[in-house]
Parts: sequence; C-alpha cells; structure tokens
Amino acid sequence: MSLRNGFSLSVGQEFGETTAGESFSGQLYGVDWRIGLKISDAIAVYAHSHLSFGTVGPDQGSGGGVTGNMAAAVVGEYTLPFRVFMGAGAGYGVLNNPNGPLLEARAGYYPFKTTSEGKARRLNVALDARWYMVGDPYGTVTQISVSLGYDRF
Amino acid sequence: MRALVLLLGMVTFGHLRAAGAESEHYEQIRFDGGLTGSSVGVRDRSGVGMVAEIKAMVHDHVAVGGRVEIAVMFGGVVGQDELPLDVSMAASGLIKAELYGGTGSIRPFVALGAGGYTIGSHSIQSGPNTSGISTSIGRYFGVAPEVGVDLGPVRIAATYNAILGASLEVHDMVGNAPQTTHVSQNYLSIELSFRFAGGRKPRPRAQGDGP
Repeated sequence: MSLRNGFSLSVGQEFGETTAGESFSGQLYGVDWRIGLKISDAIAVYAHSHLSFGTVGPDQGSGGGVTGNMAAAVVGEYTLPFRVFMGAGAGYGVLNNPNGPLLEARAGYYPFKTTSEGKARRLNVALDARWYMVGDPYGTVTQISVSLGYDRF
Repeated sequence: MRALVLLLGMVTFGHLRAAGAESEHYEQIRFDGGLTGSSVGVRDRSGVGMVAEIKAMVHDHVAVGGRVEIAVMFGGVVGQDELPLDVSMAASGLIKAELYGGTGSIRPFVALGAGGYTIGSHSIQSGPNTSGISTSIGRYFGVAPEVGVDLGPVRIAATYNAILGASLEVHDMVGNAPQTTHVSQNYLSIELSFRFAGGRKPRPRAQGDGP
C-alpha cells in the first residue's frame, strides 16, 4: 500500500432541467486534485476534489451568468489491463449556490508512465461524470468533463 | 494546427514510446501552476487569475499538453458616456504546444494554444447618449500565442488570448448620428508560474562514483 497523488485540468459541460421544465447548460474549466492510497497494482482509493468556473444559462431565452462548481468524492478505482481504469464514488458538491450529495463515475487511460529516482508518474486522460443531487428547483444536474492530468504512484 | 492535433493524438493514444518521442534530458511529464495578471483592450480594465498546465515532453525542445486559465476582469469604461463595466470572468481550456530554446537553466520559449473559451456577461449602466448595448456570453473558440522564459523552475510568460466571435457593442447617439463602440474581449495575460514537475533528469552516476 502506498500514497498516490495527482492533478488534472478539466473542460466540462453541465446540464439539467428545473422543476418548471426549463433546461439549462453551462461550460466550465477547472482543476482536480486526487490524493489517496494505492492498495494494489489494480486497486486504489482516493479523495477526488474538483473546482471549476464558467458560465451557465437557460437553453432558451436570455439570461445566465458566471458560475462555479466544487465537488469532493471518495472514489474507488480499478485498473484494467492495457492501462485503462474505471472508478466510481460518492461525495458532496456545490453548484454555485445549490448544493447536495453527488455520485461520480470516471473512466480513462494512462498513456504512459515515467520513472525516475523511485518516482513513477503517469499521464492520464479521463472522462469524469458527476451527478449533483441539489434538489428543488434544479433536481439532478449532470456535469461531464474531459480531463488531462498526471498521477504519481 | 495539423501538427498540433497530431501531437495531441500521440499523447492521447499512447504512441509516444512507440514513436520514440521522449525527452532525453527532461522528465517526461511537466506540470506548471501559477498566477496571472490580465490587460483588456478597454481603458482602465484589468484582471487577475490563475493558470495550470500539464504537458508531455516529447523532445528536449518540444512539449505538448493542456492549459486551463481562469481570469476575473474588473474596471474600465466604454462608450461616449464612459459607462463603467462590471466584473466579469473569462475561462479557457486549451491544447498547446511549446518550443524551447536551449537546455540550460534559462530557457526562452514560444507556444501556441487553441481551444474553448467562455465569458461571463457584463452589466453596464445606461448613459444619456447610450441607445443600446449588445453583449454575449457563451462558448467561443480562441487561439493563444505565447512567449516567455523559464528561469529554472520559475516561468515568466505573456499570452495573448484571441477569442473569435466574442463581442460587446455599445451604441451611442452623438448628436443625431449613431456611433458604435466595439469592445474587444481579447486579453493579454502576464503569467508567473512554478514548475512542479518536468525538470531535468538526474545525471546517471558514473562508474567509480561514491557509494
């Protein structure tokens, strides 16, 4: 068992629908931080935090403005052969002001790793999905992000 | 642009090692993070922000990867009535390629990025001569040429963010003649950042060196 630590840059899209039936969407850019434990070559558990900023607005009509998302989740990750990984977890998220529990799922790929002086760094490309259950009037808001990062473990 | 896409594809699909695309003297994964100060093409308008970059060193002189920058803009006046602009925000996610000169501790570089930008709306008060204000928010495509220098782990750089299609127009009446002021959403970022990974590889120990 050993420590693992990593960062990512993310580009994401969020979308949802209010209880009044008005759909909205936004674009967000941000950073992720992961820290946790590598339990075996295949299994890891880590805290995955996310912070992003962007704009959001209704799909029809005018309005909207700047928004920011924060999320933190405990994620279990399993690395498949060919350096593909999948993970899922749960935590809590803030969508500008509404907040609530969230579910997270991620899948990605470690294209290569580099080792020097006992350090192994892996580049990673991942697709991260988060479902924020913030309740009325927004219901569940989905955020899909593409991330590019590296992990050291 | 085609070369940039090709290089990104090599990173994404893991052909770097197969192609032998690897830096000889530098760690293969580079991570920089820092702060920015921004200047907008509007009188008295400026901003502050943060930037983070993760790149693969595919050669001693070439890195490719991604960049995220978030900048908050404030101040400035527009139009005949010198209407004050409200606080706004610009965020971007780019793919980029960097070309370095030399392999010493002082390394000048040039870079080019391209990708998505999003800009928050502006609130502008109406003036006595202002007949209308057109602003837009949303997602745009942009390009970002950059020049800078690495001083060891410290980076000083200037990036011009050219955002295509983003506009803010202020329509004034000067006497009976309409006059439109176009406000550019492009901005220049001056960056001070730190390299957290991607420095020089340690030299292999020669035979006969100490224990």
